[in-house]
Amino acid sequence: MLKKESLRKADVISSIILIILGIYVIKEALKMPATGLPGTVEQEFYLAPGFFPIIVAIVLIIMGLFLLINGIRSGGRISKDDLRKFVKIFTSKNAIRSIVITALIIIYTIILLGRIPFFWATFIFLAGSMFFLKAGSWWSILLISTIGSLIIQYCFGTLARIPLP
Amino acid sequence: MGLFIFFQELINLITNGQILFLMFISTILGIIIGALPGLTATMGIALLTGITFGLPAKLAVPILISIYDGAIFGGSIAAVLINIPGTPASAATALDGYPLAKQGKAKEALLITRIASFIGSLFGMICLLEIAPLLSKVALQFTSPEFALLALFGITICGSLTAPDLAIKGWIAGFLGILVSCIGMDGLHGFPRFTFNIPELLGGIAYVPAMIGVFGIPQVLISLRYSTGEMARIIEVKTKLMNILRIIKNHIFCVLRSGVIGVYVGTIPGVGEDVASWLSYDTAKRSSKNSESFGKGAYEGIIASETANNACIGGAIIPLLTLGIPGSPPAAVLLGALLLHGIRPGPMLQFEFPNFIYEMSALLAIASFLLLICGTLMTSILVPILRRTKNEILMPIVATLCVIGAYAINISLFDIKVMVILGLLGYILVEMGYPMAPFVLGVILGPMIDVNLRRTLLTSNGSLLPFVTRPVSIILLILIAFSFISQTSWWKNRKKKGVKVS
Amino acid sequence: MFKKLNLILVIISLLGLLFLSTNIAAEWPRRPITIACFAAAGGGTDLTNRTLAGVMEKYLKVPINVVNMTGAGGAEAVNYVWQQKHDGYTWLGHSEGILLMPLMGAFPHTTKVWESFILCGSPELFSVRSDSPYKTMAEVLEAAKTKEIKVGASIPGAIHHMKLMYLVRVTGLKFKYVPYPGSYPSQVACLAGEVDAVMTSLQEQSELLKAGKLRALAAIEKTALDVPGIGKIPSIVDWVPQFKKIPEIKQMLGFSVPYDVPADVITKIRTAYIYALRSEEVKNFIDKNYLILYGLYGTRAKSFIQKLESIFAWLAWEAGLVKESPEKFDIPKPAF
Repeated sequence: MLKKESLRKADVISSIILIILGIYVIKEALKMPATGLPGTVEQEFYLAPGFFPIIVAIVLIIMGLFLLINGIRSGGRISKDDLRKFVKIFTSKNAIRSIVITALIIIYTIILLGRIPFFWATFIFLAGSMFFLKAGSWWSILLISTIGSLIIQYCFGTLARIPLP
Repeated sequence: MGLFIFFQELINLITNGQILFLMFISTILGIIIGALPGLTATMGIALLTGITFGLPAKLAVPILISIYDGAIFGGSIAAVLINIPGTPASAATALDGYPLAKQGKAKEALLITRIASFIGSLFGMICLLEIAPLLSKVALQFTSPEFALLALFGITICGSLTAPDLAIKGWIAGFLGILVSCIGMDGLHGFPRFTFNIPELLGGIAYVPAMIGVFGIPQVLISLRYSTGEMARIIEVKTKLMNILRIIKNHIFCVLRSGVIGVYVGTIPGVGEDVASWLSYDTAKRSSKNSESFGKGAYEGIIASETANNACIGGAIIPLLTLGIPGSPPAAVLLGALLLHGIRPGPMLQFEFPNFIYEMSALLAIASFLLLICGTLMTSILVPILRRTKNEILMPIVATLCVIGAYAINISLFDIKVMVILGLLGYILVEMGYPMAPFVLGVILGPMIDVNLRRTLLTSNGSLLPFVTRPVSIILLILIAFSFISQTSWWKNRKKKGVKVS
Repeated sequence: MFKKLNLILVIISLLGLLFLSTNIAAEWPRRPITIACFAAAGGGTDLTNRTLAGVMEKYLKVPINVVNMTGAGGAEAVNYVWQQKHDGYTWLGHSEGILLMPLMGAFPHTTKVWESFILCGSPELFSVRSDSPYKTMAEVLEAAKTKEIKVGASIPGAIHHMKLMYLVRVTGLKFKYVPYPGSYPSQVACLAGEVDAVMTSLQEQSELLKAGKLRALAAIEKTALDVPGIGKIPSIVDWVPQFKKIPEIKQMLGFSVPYDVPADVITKIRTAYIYALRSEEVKNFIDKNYLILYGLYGTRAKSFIQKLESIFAWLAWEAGLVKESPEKFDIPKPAF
């Protein structure tokens, strides 16, 4: 979690996003038909599919406003200096680890799975991420990734009889 | 008379080596299923229903009960050790279990969850045995307005309990979860909401991938941000059984109360172990003398949530056997399994299979004892492995388990994508101080609020009166209002002043 | 030395895997069959398919796994089976719920693309609580002329809702449909007094009827029922004679494979299915669960499904339940 001071600044940003989201939801929900239930004659606003999302959106907007006011009161104003700090968050050494792992997870789940067999996709992900993280010597990484993928393949595919991608 | 049959069944089962052995293996399997993120009790029972189809009911039912009991406990292992609740039922356990593990008390915490689960299961069993007919009436007290309010109550208390920063952020996370649950065909019209013409979204966002995503991915990313070398090594504190028993004894009231809450929530159809553990955790925190220690490794916290979620099992079986109505999602699958084996639970069960309720109680009793043994076995294997493995090796494997867990529940590649996208979103939210547990509860219970709210209005022709004229719903309404008010600065100031004066 | 040994181990395990992943195809069935069931575990569709799988795997001598793919309201299972190789190794476990999928834009084809095996279905009942003022269906129909009768049924588009819509369409009476997420919640609501009546299948209601908690007023079927342990349940035809002439809606539970699965494979599935039809297990399953055996396959299954599809499609289209017109898919309008 961020430090308290930055949290209030983050609150300001997140509350604005929240309010925009709320308005968008209301806009979309109003487009939903206010018809009655299929096969019956009732046409009441409270039965419309958009009724509940609108309530949720209103609650979110109200809470967003609370958060915004609280953030500004507690000194959460955004200056040019914050922008530089914000960029810094993404370029520090530790952040790069997170970003690369995120990228690897995305490659694994969205690109590899479904295109190549499950075992190979998992093997590539495990070996790739462990190499990047310098988890050990190259052969131990290969061994762990092979065994890890094999066990997962066996337990889920063979024992639990789940058709793997 | 009933007790006599119960002990007869119990002795029958204990002297049957085959059943005992199968239950032993199944409990271990259940614990593993529970401990793996994404494989829930529901999923475990469904999987084993298929595999045990060929077996006679005499063997299949004990296996399934053991899986159920084991999996609900198993969730606490992952929650304590890696801060990823293995099942939604153990999300409340993570709040205090993980801080304890960070203090080197993982073994201690797991011993407590084990004993708490054991007592919880036994408590549920006793209720099933003794007061099942009485409790089955609870299931019929809940109609649409009560369901809507109960779900809302669960989300609000979860929100204020888990928020590390401001309580309002917990509620925001909860309502964001509810909003996510609105995606897909709505339950009243079948109208596609927020589906953006993506056919896969028609059925909505499944809650298991959502849960794995928002708990698993942020945890993986946060653990890997610093290399293991930079982190202080955790030295495990020696556990003494006597100390733990003393802790349990000191909190015996908390244990009993959690058991009652667990059984009660269990008997309400459709809500299960997750809501039970949150309600119990909330009650424990409110009535505790040292409520500040909650969230920082309070023993009471894990006792409350683990007792309640295992007590819920017995509770959920009550309406299943007496009315044919499953009290929780895993019990719904159990119903299917029983039907498959030619046992039709319901009011007629006591005539067709007069001993079945006693047999079920005996099974639950044995399962809870096995839980104690297998749990000890599993933790003594798992704790050293997880402690010695570097995060650099452990976390990539956890990530693949998250992926397969998200996939396995519906065999859907789309669910993996949902898991990753929500996970990354969850990471950003966690960084900004939004808790993820209310988000997940929102995704699970959102449709319940939506449909029950609108159904109440439908049956009352648009009047909101049913919310205030029915006794259970007015109590829930007051509790919800109180949980909001008690978080305002006005209430907190008043309380502080009160303390000073006295 | 130690390092080299490890290297060899790694290479051996990798090579071993390569061999494992290659499959030698020969006479069907060589490997396990998967039934992708489009409904959740424990429901009627799931139970039917698990029972069939349990018997048919004895005949085919390979395991038949039932997996539940409930994504996208079941459409994910349908699309999954369609996208797999049409080699007879993946079957679709389904109920009448697939009939509306093309009209909802969830699957691009009508039932013409399936070779179906329809095992059974359960009759629909219109029931009230035991302390309800309505003793017969006649009283309910009379009361509905002036009063609003609330009827609980499962989600829109499901068989129980379609039956209710059909009843409303034929009688022109004011029944108020109150939707529930499934059959069991709707029965609970009826017991708790939230709705006046409930429509679910006999399979789902049987225990409550036997215990006298619910009272069945009529079967929404063309013929009356005589159920052991419950007694006679009159047909709706007794009060609404129009039902006799118009085509019927029925529940159907079974499985399907794509129509272009090789003919010899379909023949083998058929023989295994016929073997299952004659088995004790299936007979017991049907009896114990108060189901009606249809045992359909081949052209008879096809015509059964297409008749059902046309009523479902047009009824849903008239009610505004689906976004695509049945005309677009060349589904003929039934004479109802």
